Amino acid sequence: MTVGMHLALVVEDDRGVQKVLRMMLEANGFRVVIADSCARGERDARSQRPDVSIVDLGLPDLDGIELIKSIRTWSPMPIIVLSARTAEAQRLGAFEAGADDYVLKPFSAPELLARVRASLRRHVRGEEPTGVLEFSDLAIDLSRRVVQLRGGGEVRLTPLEHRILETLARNRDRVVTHSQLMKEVWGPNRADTRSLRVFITTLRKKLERDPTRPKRIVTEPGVGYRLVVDSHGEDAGDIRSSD
Amino acid sequence: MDVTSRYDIAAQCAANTEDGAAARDCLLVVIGSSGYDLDLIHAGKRLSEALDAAWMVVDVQTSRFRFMPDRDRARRLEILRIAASLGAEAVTLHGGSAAGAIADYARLRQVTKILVGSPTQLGWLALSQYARLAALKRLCPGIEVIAIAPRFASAHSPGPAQPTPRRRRIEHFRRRARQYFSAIAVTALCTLIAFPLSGRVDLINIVMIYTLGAAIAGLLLGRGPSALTAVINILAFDYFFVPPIFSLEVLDPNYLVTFTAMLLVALIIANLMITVRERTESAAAREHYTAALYAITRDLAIARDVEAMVTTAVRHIGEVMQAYALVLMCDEDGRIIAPQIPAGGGARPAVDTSVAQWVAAKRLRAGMGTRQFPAEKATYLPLLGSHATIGVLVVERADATEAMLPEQQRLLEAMTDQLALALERARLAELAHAAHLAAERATMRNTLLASISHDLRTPLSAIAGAGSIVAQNDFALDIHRRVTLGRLIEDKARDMSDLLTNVLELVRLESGTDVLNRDWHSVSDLVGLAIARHESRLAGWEVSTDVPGDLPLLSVDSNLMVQMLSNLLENAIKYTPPGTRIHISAQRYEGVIRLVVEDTGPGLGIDVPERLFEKFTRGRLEGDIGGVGLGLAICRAVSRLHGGEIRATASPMGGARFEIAMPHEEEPSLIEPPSSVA
Repeated sequence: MTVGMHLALVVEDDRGVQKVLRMMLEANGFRVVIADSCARGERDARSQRPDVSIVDLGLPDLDGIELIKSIRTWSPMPIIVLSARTAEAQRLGAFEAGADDYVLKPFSAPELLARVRASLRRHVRGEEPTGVLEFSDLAIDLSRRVVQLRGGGEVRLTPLEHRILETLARNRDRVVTHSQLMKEVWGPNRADTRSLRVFITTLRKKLERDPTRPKRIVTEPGVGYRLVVDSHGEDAGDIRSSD
Repeated sequence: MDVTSRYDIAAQCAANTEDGAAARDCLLVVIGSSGYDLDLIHAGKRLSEALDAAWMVVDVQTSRFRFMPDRDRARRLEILRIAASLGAEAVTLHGGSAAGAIADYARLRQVTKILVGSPTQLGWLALSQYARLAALKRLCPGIEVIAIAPRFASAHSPGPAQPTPRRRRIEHFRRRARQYFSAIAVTALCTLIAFPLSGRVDLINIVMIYTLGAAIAGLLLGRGPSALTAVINILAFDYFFVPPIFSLEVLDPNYLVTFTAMLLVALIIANLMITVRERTESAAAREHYTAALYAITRDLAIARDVEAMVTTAVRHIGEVMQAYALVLMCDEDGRIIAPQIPAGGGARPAVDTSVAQWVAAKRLRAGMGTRQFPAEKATYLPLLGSHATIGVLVVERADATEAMLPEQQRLLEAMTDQLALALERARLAELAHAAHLAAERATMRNTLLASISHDLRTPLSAIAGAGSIVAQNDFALDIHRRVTLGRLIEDKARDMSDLLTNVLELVRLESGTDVLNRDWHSVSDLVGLAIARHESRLAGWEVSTDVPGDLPLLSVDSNLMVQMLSNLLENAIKYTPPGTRIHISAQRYEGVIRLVVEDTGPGLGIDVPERLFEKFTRGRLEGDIGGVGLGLAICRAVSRLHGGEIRATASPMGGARFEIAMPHEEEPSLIEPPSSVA
């Protein structure tokens, strides 16, 4: 990690939060650039080419959403929203503008850091639609549509479950909105959240140890779902190419 | 005669009585006897002010009143109303003789002075007026009778003549004609009966038959026709019975005495009969109106709200007046609000809102039968409250050409007053209720502020304290202590954040403007999200769940549902020691999904669990346990918004048990996956 430290851009106008973020990131091997407005954020993003951005929504000049939209026109870098806005519509808006993740204020430093790292990992890896998802106690073979339990035995996935899981896996560690998920699985104009809920429930029964306390397919309330790969081991949860 | 041609009489009277008895004067103004009643009333007002006396204005309605043109009747009613508005007690007396009725009333009310108009006309009428004045003075010994002349000869010019509708005039004429015809018929009938008896009985018995006929005429017909009967009876008697028969000649002068006696007896009997009849009729009419007034008063007393009162009044007035009625309410600024539609629907008066607005502003009547806007088809009466005009009553007679009888007019006014009183009562009740609510809200707000400031300050002091220790270089904290302090700061900050969330949530729920953001959610997902919120803090507790996977989806606001479950979990964390088991379960019953959060802790610690769901109520007096007692209030608000209910009981596990019953609809069929699945 020491070679080529990641550069993080923090767009945040509150000095206290700036300080906390700087300490947190620098203590964990990031170089940090801080901007206190959308305009500066945009300028720094273009000139410094950061690896990841943490963006507050309530900024003095413009809404952070605008900055995200603007950055998305030229860069695929991970963007994490850090905001006190709790309303579902606002969270959904941020994801639709192109945010990779949304962390609520007041935030916990370890959680934010984990999200930042996860987004970086995904970005570095790129998207691989097929392969085997490995977890500590099970592996999901997307090409064979089978869940392989560590203790032996297999659980078969229905075509629909498979398609949902595949969509989530392509965007692993990242929130897939309901509409996005439904469009990919059922096709456009066939949106029905009820069906989605039911299939997520059946999928969890096959993948989770305790379906009421899901650790893999995590609900992002009001927005969508996120497939979380194991964060304990660096290798666990990575996708190996099936061929 | 005490005829004074100046209004200075008031001052004079005042001077005269200055050194008189200490007894308070009482003034009676008689109107209707002159053409300048308005002047009389003003004189009465000045005099009463000068004497500091109570004063009343009486209008004597003798039988003549019935046959007056509508215009005159309306004018006299208007004058009475003006008198009332000037502070006089307006009274209407009924009686055969004006002087008698006034004298009786004056004695009854212990009047000291009577003001009447002085005779102005010449000829017969002047004579009758003088006679009436004399009679009044004779009948009222000890009471000063003052006759007042008009200020100006043309001080009171009659208002613009209202054309009497032609139809009405013809109707009236026909009735009179029929009566006179009947008068002649009575005489003819008497003659027919008497003629065969001629020569067999004494002439004196024939006279009796004619007298009987005159009495019957008096019983059935008016004054004029009765008088006609009396006269032609004599002519018929003379012609058919008095020798020489079939001639009006009278040979025996004795018969002239008979004729005179016959005429007088017939006239007196007729007059008596008519007087009795009129009294009976007016008593019956008054009883009818009293009954109507009683009915509306009773119904208005029962009516609870403004709408019911208006409906009641509109119905009663419509029935009694044969009219369409409508109430226009005023807002606080006295502006007319949109018309209140009577519940029965049907015909409604054509309302001119500008006239109604005028009535509301001036607090005067207008429209048909009044001086203002007389061309309007409807009558507009203000509903007067103690402070402002409450509204305007609009009445339109079903038969617009028929003027209102004075009795009806009075009844309508009385009903209007009753309605105004009732509405005022309702309005005051509303105000009192609003004030009560406002006071309650203020108390609530104060409690909320007190609780919040306490519950924000407590964690803040911990944060500030811990922060200052960490910042202090001299303390040389070891790593373990620094971590402890850091945790403390984080935990307390999170508590404050939760509290803030709850307060904001409650404000939002109670504002009532926010509709539920419903969507389909699985119970397990909701439970999972609630647990996830407290993941780190729940580490010390043993959490178990029992949520069957085949439960139907719920159409709920996930944010609120998670908040509710999370509040229950937070309570469990706060009020039970670490190591306690917390069990979350869901079951399906008929029509409801039952969500249960229970624990093995020390229990609710309150006698009436229902009270826990009230705001600012807490199970145990707060010691070190933070919170304002809003969590469960939010739970109840959320469950009720979803049509569900929440209960607190003792758990069979030994601790507290919170049970939420959420209604669920039948699950719709799911969309099948497209057939092109590979």
